[in-house]
Amino acid sequence: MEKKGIFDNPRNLKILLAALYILCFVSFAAELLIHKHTYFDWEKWPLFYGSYGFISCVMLVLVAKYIVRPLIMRDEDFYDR
Amino acid sequence: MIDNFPPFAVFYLGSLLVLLTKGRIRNTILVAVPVISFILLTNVDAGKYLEYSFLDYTLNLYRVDKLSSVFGYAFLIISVAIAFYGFHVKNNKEYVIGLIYAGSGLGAVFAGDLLTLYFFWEVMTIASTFIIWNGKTKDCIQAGFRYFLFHLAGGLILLFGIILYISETGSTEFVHMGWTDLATGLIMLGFGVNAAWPLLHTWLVDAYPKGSFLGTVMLTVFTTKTAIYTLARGFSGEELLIVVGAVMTAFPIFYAVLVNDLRKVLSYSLINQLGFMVAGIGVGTTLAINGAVGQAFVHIMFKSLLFMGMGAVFYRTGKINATDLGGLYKYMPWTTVFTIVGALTISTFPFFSAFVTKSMILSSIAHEGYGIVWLTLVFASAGVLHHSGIKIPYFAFFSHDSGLRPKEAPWNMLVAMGFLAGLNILLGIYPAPLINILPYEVSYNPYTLGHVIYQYQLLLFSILAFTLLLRSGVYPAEIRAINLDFDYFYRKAGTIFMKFEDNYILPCFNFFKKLFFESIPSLLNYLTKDPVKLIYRVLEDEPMGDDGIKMQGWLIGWSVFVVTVFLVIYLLVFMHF
Repeated sequence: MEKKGIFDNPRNLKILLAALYILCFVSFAAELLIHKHTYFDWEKWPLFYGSYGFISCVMLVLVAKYIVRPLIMRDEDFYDR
Repeated sequence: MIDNFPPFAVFYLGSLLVLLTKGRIRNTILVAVPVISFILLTNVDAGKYLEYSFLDYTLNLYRVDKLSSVFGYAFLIISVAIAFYGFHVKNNKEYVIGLIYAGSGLGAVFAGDLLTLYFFWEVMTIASTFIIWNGKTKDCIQAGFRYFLFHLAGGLILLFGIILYISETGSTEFVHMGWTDLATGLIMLGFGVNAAWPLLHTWLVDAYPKGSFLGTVMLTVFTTKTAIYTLARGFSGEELLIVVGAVMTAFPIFYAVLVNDLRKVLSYSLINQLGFMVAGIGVGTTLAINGAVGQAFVHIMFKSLLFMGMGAVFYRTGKINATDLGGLYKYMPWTTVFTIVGALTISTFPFFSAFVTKSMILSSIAHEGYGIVWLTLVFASAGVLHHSGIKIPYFAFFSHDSGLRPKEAPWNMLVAMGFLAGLNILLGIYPAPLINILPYEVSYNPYTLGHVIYQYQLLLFSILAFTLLLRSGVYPAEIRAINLDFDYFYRKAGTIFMKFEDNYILPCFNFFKKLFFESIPSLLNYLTKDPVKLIYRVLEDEPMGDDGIKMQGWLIGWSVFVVTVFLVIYLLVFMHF
């Protein structure tokens, strides 16, 4: 039985993505408005959390893809041979 | 007396009853066992019960205090959910073993001394091995053996440490010990094997993804969290643990990006979560211990939820690899929703339970000024969001249409998942019940405006990174393959040992086996079989064997014959007189 899901309509996906971009911006703007209580100096940098999260994820994926995978990937029957 | 009835005894009894019943009665027992234990536990005052004497040592079967109770409550709550999750399973075997396994977990947590702890520790190892074997494929059987060997070794290290410790201190009581000498070091290492420390972690990612849909959920709860309890009890404030914990949070996330089997992704993610707890225990302040213990509590709830979600997918489709799944949200909408709640919780979104406890751990680490560790843990948090928060629901339920058209999970699975999802949201919005049962009285409010905004910023930008990587095609496609882990070395060493054994040791044994079990017996046999024929043979010049082959050692035959004759005469003479 075929069913129609909400993401079969490309418009909904676009709305979701737009919401993500807006929320990112809102979280950045909100940071500027509050008074900061922090433990470390680097937490005071504007957009520290956002950029750290973004860079972490990009680094994570790139390192996993281009450095870790070539080192560790083997055929599925590696141990059975 | 009835108040002091320990939970493990209820579970062992329940296991026996489950063995004898089926259908609705069995299901009622499955729910009743943890519920009754829970009521008993809430009514018992802190203290030591059921002390007994063994080899001149006083042992203690049931020690109730705040630390052991948190783990007790968590184990009992999750046992109710797991009971529901498998209502429709006709075969009792998994539940009979499961109740012994869970009961032993409870026994270990409430054990007041090291010998009792060790007993339950080993029963858990055996029971969990049987649960893995219940997956029934060839892969499961082999992984079960590897798992068993690993834990046997860990258990022996622990036993050795315990014996040394008792002989040094003369005390069996399990209290805070710290790493001071060889004995305590070995005990800590023994606990570390079950806590999946780096390089000792391979049993977890090897065996857990191979269980049945129900067995894997059971496995992920008890062994590792008991280890977390023992570390919190015995080794809080041990600085080495901070480093170990930080490594545990960071390295598995690289694997989790690449691994195709979604339950394996969750297994790596499990190590990452344990890392947060181990690091918190290492810091050892009251806030950090509260954070670590609270994290263990909520982790049991949300990790089981995620494993249940993937278990439901596995149960309905028979597939669990990211490459085979996708587009299921249309067909399993409730499973999708509950899995997403689990994913949001593990990602520590504000207003979900883990946000409260993980914030405690991170704050305590920042408060003590461990900058690099803090950065590692925040990096790992972004990583968690990426692999457990996004990858799991995305590849299972969205992504491309896999062509699979499964039915929604059975009602009882949905009840179990819904219960846990609700609990995670409830404890996120209203964390007071959880904070009240934590070991120490510490006032901590995670919901400051700044903290919530920072957390959202971290998570939203991480999602942004994932989205952009995916849409630009940089995100690595899942590939059917295995990714080598440290067990490469164990397994390679195992293969080399087996080859050495085959080529050198086995031939030696074979030689002796042939000598003692074939050559000598057959000679003796031959000599005693048929004396008349023997005489013929001996008298012949060139004796022949039964098969026509020339008898090589017929001279020996001669001498034996002569000796035998003498012996017979000697015996006759003696017996006569």
